[in-house]
Amino acid sequence: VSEETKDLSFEEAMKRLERIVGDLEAGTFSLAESLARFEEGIALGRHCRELLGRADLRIRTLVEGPDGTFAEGEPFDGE
Amino acid sequence: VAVITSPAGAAIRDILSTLRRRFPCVEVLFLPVPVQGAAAAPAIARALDELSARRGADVAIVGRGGGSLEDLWAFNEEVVARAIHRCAVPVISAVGHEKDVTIADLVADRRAATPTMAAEIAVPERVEVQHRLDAVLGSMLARVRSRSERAAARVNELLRSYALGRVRGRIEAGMQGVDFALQQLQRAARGGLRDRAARSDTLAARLGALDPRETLRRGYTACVDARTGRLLRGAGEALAAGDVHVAFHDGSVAARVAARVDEEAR
Repeated sequence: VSEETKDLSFEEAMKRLERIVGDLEAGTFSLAESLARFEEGIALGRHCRELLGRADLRIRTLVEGPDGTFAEGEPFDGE
Repeated sequence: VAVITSPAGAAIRDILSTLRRRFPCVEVLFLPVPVQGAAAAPAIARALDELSARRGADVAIVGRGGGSLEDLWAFNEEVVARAIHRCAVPVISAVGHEKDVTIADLVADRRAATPTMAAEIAVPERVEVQHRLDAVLGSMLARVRSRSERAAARVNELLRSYALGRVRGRIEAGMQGVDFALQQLQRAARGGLRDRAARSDTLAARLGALDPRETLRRGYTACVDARTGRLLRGAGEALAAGDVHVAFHDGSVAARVAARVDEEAR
């Protein structure tokens, strides 16, 4: 689960977390299933916090070449 | 967040600084394009198409800083309007100042008065998102806590329940039954041994009765073939054997059968 979680974007992780809470609210799961979801939820929450905690804006550039195709370009810091 | 604008203008700086301030964890995909002159409109349109084909972002900001009507003209061009319209990624337009309205602004999913405002539309405040995350995690924690508390309460309830009490009673009764059965088994085993001992005494007595020596003691004799030692069971056998031994209770004697006498006696 944790490897999958690490690859999720903030929005994906948040969506999954909200679904887990919804599942838990529905209360249709056994205690073991509830705890498994809770564990996943904690991992997702940690992942979200980590993403939120990133302080540096990451900027990629996509530049059109003379032949009309786009490619990753030089980093741009905007300063 | 994709940003399609000039690398030289104020727009990109305003957008980046706003994103940094509000939500620095976001990833920016910057597509530098000319925003004025004849090359601008087709370049903006191609950048939008490229972004759309790549599905390279969740939202795109297209625009430039303020300028004259001619400076903003690329954003009134049909190619730009059509590219915004067909873009698979939601587009926020941010062209010039508040008062400037271009066709791009009318076609876009959202119109921002300035590039800074476009960035504010594109991302939430980080602290708001953090609150939302905290709320979701808190709600999850509360759910799980109540779920496990409910389970614990149920266990306690079951432990105290009458049904379990009865089962416990039955188990205790069963244990007593087992003890009783074991005692009985031990008693029975001891009794069995005693019975068997008594029975073997009787058997010995009965075996004694069958002892041929007892019969000899009472005055009877047994006659055996002198050669084979076989017990002779009749007058004919004795006559045939000839030489016989006659056993008394205190010893045997050798004898010869002379003749059969019962027939002569008759």
